[in-house]
Amino acid sequence: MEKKKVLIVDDSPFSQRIIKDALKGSAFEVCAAADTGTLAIEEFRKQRPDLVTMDMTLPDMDGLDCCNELKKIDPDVNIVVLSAMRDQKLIARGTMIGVKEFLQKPVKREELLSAMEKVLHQEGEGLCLVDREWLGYFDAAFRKNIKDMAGLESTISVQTDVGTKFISHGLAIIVGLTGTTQGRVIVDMATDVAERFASKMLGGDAASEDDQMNSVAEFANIIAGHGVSRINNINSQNDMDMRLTPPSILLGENLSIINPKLSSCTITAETSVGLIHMNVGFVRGR
Amino acid sequence: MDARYVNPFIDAITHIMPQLGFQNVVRGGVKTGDQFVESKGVTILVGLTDDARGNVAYNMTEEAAMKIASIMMMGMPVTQMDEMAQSAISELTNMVTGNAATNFESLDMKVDISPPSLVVGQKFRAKLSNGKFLIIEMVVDGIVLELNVGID
Repeated sequence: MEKKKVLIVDDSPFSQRIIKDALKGSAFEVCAAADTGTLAIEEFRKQRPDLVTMDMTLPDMDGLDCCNELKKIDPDVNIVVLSAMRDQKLIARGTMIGVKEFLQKPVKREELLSAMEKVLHQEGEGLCLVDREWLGYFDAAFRKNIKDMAGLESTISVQTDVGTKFISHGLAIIVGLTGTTQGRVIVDMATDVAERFASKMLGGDAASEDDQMNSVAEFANIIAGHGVSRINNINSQNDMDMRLTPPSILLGENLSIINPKLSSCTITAETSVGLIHMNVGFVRGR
Repeated sequence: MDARYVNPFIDAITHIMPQLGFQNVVRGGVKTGDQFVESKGVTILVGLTDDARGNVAYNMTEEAAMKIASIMMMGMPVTQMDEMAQSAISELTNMVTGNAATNFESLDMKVDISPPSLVVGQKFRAKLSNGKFLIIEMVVDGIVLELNVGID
């Protein structure tokens, strides 16, 4: 996954350091830092970053004037204003220039990352950057547990930006995600696949319909649990507290599972018992 | 499951529906269901966590869903379950469940809810919890809306 380049414009070395630290381990990387407006413009021309964080008080010019200059170079520049001041007048002026986000210092890591991805997200549809990073945790849990719980080898394919609708293949388990970020995980397979998959999980015994539902529900619960734990651990200093709702089980032909506010990805595992699908989605604009 | 869990949902429907343009909210019967909710055509699932763990399934016919969406959009005709209607129904269940979660505080319970999943299809079943669930029938402006509450 390619990281998004960020130019930090701030005359305080301390602030620069805080922002750099906040971006560590995220989907963003710092390509340059500038402590004056002039240097910011120079670095912007050179680096062409995907996003700029902008302080309001620079030694040689007003932060908003600097935004204006960047706008002349690239009308689509993505700017997050990060300043000790955050008043209506500033926001009104900034918005006129085209600044999309205003944050007040001191800013929390999660707040900053969320504002940054929001600004980038406004460009287009689909999963945002943080979501893509998170998807990787669920993907890892999915692969690991197909092997650990059913002893199956799998070949994985990923279909990104499935959108708001998922079509079930017969048996679907929905696990809701609650907390600071909301979403849901669906594990889905055809009923004949569920029968063989559950049998593998049960050590080769024949699987009744109840066994199938219970086994696949537990499988879904464990994958979702692993993914969420990983997110909570990595973001432990930011009070990230995602939780799972108990699995609900759907049985039927050609069901559409829809959430108009969700963007999602589907990961499909090809195994010797058939195709197993996992759809992971998060609510936009958190 | 505990019958006390019914009231937060009934209160939520009674409180929220008039705000969305519905005139008349009548509480129908409450009974218990076993194992599966048989979908009437449109089912919306919302998960509950923290002090009450389980799922709620809002169950209605497609016709009822379209009528409800129409009233929520101030009488705009709705003739199919299009994106706008899906969004309206999802929002309705989100508001009602959110309000019910707040009502649980009076039972000294903290409850968090997941985003709704709207399920559309012919003849399908949903399992909400390990055991029995409660079926609450509400009639809003003559439209039947069934709530299935399964809390473990």
